[in-house]
Amino acid sequence: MSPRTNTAPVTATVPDTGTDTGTDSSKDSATAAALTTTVVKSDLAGPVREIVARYPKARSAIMPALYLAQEKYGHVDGTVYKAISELLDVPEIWVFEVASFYTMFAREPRGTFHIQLCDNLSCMLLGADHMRACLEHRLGIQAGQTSKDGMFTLSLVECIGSCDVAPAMMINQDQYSNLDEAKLTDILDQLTLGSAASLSDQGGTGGTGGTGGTGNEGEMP
Amino acid sequence: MSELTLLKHIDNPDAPQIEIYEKSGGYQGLRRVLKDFTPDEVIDYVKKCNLRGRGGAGFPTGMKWSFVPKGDGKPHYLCCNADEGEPGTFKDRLLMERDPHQMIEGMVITAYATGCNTAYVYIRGEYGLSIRRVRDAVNAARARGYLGDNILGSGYSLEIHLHIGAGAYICGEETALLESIEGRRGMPKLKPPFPAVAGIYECPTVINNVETFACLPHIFRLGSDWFTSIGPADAPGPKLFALSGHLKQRGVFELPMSISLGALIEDYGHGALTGKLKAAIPGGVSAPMIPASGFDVGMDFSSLAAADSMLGSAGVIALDETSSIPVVARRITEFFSHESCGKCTPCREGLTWAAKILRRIEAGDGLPGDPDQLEMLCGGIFGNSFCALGDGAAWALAATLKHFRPEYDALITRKTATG
Amino acid sequence: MVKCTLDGKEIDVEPGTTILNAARAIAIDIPTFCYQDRLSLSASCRMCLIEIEGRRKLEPACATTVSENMVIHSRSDKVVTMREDMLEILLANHPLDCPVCDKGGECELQDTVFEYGKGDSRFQDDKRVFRTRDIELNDVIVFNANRCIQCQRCVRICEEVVGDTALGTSERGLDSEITGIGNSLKDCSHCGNCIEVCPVGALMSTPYRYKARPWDMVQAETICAMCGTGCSLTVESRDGAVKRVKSKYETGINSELLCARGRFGIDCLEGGTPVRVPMIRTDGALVEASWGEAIALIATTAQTIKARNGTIQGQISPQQNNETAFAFQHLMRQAFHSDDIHSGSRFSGLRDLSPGATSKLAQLINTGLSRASLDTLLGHDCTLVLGANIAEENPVTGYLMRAAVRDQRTRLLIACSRPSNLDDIATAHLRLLPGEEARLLSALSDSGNTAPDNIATSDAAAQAGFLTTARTALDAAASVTLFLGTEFLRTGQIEETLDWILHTVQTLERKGKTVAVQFLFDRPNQRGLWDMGCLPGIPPASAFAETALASALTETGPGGASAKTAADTAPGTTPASTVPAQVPDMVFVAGADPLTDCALGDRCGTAARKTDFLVVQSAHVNATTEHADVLLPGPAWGEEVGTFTSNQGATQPLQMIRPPAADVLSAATIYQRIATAMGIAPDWTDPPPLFTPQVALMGPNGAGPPPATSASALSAIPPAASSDKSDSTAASGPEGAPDQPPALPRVQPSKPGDGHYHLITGASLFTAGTISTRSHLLQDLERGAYLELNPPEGLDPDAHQYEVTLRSGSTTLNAPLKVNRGFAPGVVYAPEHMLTALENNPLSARDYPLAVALTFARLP
Repeated sequence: MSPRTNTAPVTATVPDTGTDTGTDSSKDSATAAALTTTVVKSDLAGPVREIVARYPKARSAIMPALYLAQEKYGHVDGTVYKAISELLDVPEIWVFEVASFYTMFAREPRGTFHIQLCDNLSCMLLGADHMRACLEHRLGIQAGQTSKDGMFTLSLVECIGSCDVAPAMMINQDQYSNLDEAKLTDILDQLTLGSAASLSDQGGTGGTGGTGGTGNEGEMP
Repeated sequence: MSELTLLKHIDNPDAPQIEIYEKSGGYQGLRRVLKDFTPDEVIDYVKKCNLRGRGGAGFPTGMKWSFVPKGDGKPHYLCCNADEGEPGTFKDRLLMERDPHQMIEGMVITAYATGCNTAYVYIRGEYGLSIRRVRDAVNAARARGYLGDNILGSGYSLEIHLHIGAGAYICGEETALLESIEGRRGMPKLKPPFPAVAGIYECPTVINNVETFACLPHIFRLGSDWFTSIGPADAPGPKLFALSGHLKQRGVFELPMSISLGALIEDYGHGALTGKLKAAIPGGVSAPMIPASGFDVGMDFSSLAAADSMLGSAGVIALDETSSIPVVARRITEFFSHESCGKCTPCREGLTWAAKILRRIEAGDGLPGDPDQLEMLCGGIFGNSFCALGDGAAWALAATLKHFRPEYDALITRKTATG
Repeated sequence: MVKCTLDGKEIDVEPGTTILNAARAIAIDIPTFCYQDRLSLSASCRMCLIEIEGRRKLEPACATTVSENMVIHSRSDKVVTMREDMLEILLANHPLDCPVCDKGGECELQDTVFEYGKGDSRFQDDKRVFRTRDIELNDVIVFNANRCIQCQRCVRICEEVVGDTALGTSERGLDSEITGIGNSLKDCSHCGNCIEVCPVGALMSTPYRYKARPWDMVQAETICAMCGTGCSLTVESRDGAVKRVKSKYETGINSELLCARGRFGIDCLEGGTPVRVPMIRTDGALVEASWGEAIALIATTAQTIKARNGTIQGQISPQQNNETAFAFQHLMRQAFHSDDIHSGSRFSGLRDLSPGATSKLAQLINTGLSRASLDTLLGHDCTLVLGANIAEENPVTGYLMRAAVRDQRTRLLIACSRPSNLDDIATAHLRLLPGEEARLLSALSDSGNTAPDNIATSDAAAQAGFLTTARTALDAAASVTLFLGTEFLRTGQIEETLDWILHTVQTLERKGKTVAVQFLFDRPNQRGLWDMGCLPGIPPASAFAETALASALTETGPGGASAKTAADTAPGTTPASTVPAQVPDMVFVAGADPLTDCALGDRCGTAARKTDFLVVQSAHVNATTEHADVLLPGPAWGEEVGTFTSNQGATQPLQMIRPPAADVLSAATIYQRIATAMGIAPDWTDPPPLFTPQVALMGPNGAGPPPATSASALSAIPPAASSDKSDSTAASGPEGAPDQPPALPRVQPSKPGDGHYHLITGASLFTAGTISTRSHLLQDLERGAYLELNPPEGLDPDAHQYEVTLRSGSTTLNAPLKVNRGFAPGVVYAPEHMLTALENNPLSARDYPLAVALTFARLP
């Protein structure tokens, strides 16, 4: 089995799910272990109600509701499934089925920094396997594992659409591209110190074309 | 190509702003449509342009819309397929991040033509910036009266919502995408009924790709003659090609579909990163690879089909001579095996079996019968899978065997001899 | 018709026929795994791919409809190769553990590989192994993930037919695995239908695990005794020991479906304390006696009582078969000259039938109840369920109803005090207290002269919504089925309710609608007992006047013929309805347990308790047998042949699963010998005839109803309100003026409130009658006592557990709270067996639903 299957957490990026209700304030105070269905329900009830209004049927809100919970608690689990099923009045198994089908829902806690290294073809051709080896060596963990200090989780992910700036990875929601050993070291050094945001691709996809456009020759912006 | 259309403002960091978009003619196409066209006339006009879907299948867009029943009393839904997951493809990402209003304007035009009052943009969860840019663009468009109730005073109303994917390549398949919007596991659904008749919530549903939508504002602003003057008659209009892999220059390029794979690689990709190229995948990893000897093929639907491959998502991945084809095949097959939804037998079981054999070959434990066994598996999967995922995977794998069988044999023989 | 060519054969099929069904119709086998008739199409296993000329790809036969001039090949080289490939691919990961697999010998994969496989595999790698040990998903279902072929039949049947949606799929691709929440199915219905439809040995029955091989067992085809639906069971035994119960695809009303009671309750055969020999009370204790002594004592006593114009009452359990029931009422009417016969004594309302109610019930039984397959009834445009929790009381009827609604064959309206999972698929549902059925029917009728003033326990808006939707649905329907639950049989409003049922049928028929009525009994042969005349004043067979059964009855001798007018021809017989409510001099109880079932002071219970001479015939020891003056052993279900009449009116044969103990005589034999001892030449035969003509009429599948006992006969029945007027018949002729609507019950159940609750009861999912409480397995599944309700504000059942204390008069009951938000506020449900087990069984018609007080205590 490749490490991308069967080893939780897989990928657990939390994109901006588009709720207007901020949930960040309590992000750190809540730990899933202490949660009860009642608490999760009251946490999510407001935003879930807004989400449900976008769809003709409440079942459609399962994915956005899972994202909400993940954003708030770091991962999703049985308590969350039950709470969402009750909020949406759908069978609990439907919530679990969805959570386990899509790889971006983390069903176990993961590190502060979730490193998602793409090793699909375009990245592989430009050295993703070497990047993986570097990361595993540096972090002392295998792909699919979380470092003992809880800082890093390393996942291999499928194509993240950064093929032109390969090899590429995402750390939480930020993207890092045109990776090489030196850049990886810089990123991890800075992450350990605080932030590596200055090394990420602030504007998203890095170099790109147009006829005779800037393409990807040379340095990243 | 003299002038860019879809990518004209792509390097302007302010392009995502609605004011900038409007200054360059943005939402003029929509104004024209709402003022001068009935919904049926919009469909006829798009048919006349022969716009073909940019998502991979190349189905004529106007015809797809015309399947939507009229006066059926049910709500109609519009979906934008922004679940760009095909490895080697990143054109939709560029459009959403750098100039998202083209897509939104195209969606409004489409929704008007097909009687939809609710639309969903299904963006893959990995595309964080695209999600933010599209959401901002939707809000800006609503604030300017291009969305919401009574758009531009026309009496027509549309609301666009975002639905964020969560890591499932299969959701790029349109019926799986619709299932995902309904809050289910993204598994393809039986067709017929087709989405145009019974899509999400059993209601007529139109689903098109980001790039397809992005073409529409320009069609209605610049006219059908402009559109059909670009590229071959059976596949007109500007097209985005994504270049990656062993190339000096990688990125997205807007070109007519008449260009050859070789020209695309040499003129725009600036050739192999080092040494020579061995092969290229023309349209994302599900498109069968083409050896360097076949690079003169035209990058359009029919020419690539004639060359036993497909345009697919037009994501070109070039492989140089250092690439081991069995290893490339292993990686591609592992990808499809990982992304198989598990619904049908051949894809679920067959691809994993193939990946096991390929890993074994790579590890030096290949058996002489393995290539034949892989061919049998490809035969069992191709044409018998429930959806295109299994078919594409088997087809792509079969091409590596067809063009590069000696590489497999060499790997197996070498290991067998030493082992 | 559509013409096509299939494997060279030209055939015509109905438009819309799938290739699979077209092929099966001409005995061309196309292998399938994921396809199942009743379930939504999946087309995912790809085994049924066939070749259609002119199409590039093979197409799934299950999902492709035949079109004109289609040329189809189901055995072309391409198809044969595809099947071999597909099976090889499937077997790549399937464990080859057939020798230890429970499914061995009846495995669809095994059979299909044998028929269509290539015989060898080129798979050389390690098989995918989820885990080495099987998972016990619950007490009855065990799961081996390695064997699963992802056909998803289990998941679909659980959601689409059973309505549990307990099963689902985790992960995806090759890691896809069937599962329940938390890898458990502990809260599901435990019906085991997932096991039944599993084509391989992935889902298996825990009780049957490693017990036997299919080819080693002998089968008995019989009818389930756990409710009145009348499901066909295949009971399989090895060396005389029962190993399991199976359902058979395309056999019986239920086909592949069974509920937990039917599939897993078979250990009821081992439960309870059997009565082995006749006993006579001597010096206060029951002492073993010979059959001769027991029968002589009964005959002598009855003779004496008759001689002094004393009274004799009969009570028979609805778990007794038709043959026993028919002989029983003969004994009562011909030998004992008594019409005081009871067969629904646990329904408190039925115990105290007024003369008016008796005649209404007779009308309904004899001319109103449909004798048609459930399939037909569920094909009616609109289905109104009145006072029945079908999902728990008649689960398989519920499954079939769900399937019918899903297939859009009918629109479902439910008015019931208990919520069920059918509410969700109903066009409209209403929480209605027992006793309010007449008011609801009145509100639904256009002649309704009474404002539906708060008849429901749902809120006013919900009530108004239901009435509007239901009226529209009934109006639009060309055919209507009325399913009658037993809730109203417990109330004091039984007569008015019957009036309104009859009136409603009549009114709908006047409008040109086809109307069918079916009772939903939670006991296997209540319908049969009524047909056989086991009700006071309602002789047998009148329902069968036009059918072959009538002649079968007649052929049994004068008894059959005379039975029609038993009350007239049997000299000295006093119609029970006119019997003063006094304690009978003798009570003969057949199989029933009135001392347990009846509330203190209620008629049948009091009769049995206080009579001078109590004769009890029973297979098992119970409260009433303990009280008997003469106790006679009788065969239990499974120990004799006979017939049950199901709710749909089908009379179906019971096979013997095992012989009764050596000293046990059939009931009919006992009755015959009593009559003989009394000097009456019994004119019923021994053994009694099986009522097989009905079975033939109904067909094995419940199809092909007998000549309909058209409810149009009802049009000649006077409306109840004017039943005492001799001229009322004229007013209600087919073209007559509209009837006056019947009167509404004078008494209306009080509205709950202020800590006051209404206690309602009925069968639960795992318990319906003593046969189910004799099953240890079902009792384990029931998990003890509970009180089910929608908890009042102030309780937080998400966070805490509660114990409820119920008080009513001298009765106190403590049980854990079971939360069900589907209940109306102020209503509490207790399973009937919980209440009857109380020292002071509170179930009485004088006050049903019963007003009780509840208090809640948080458990630590």
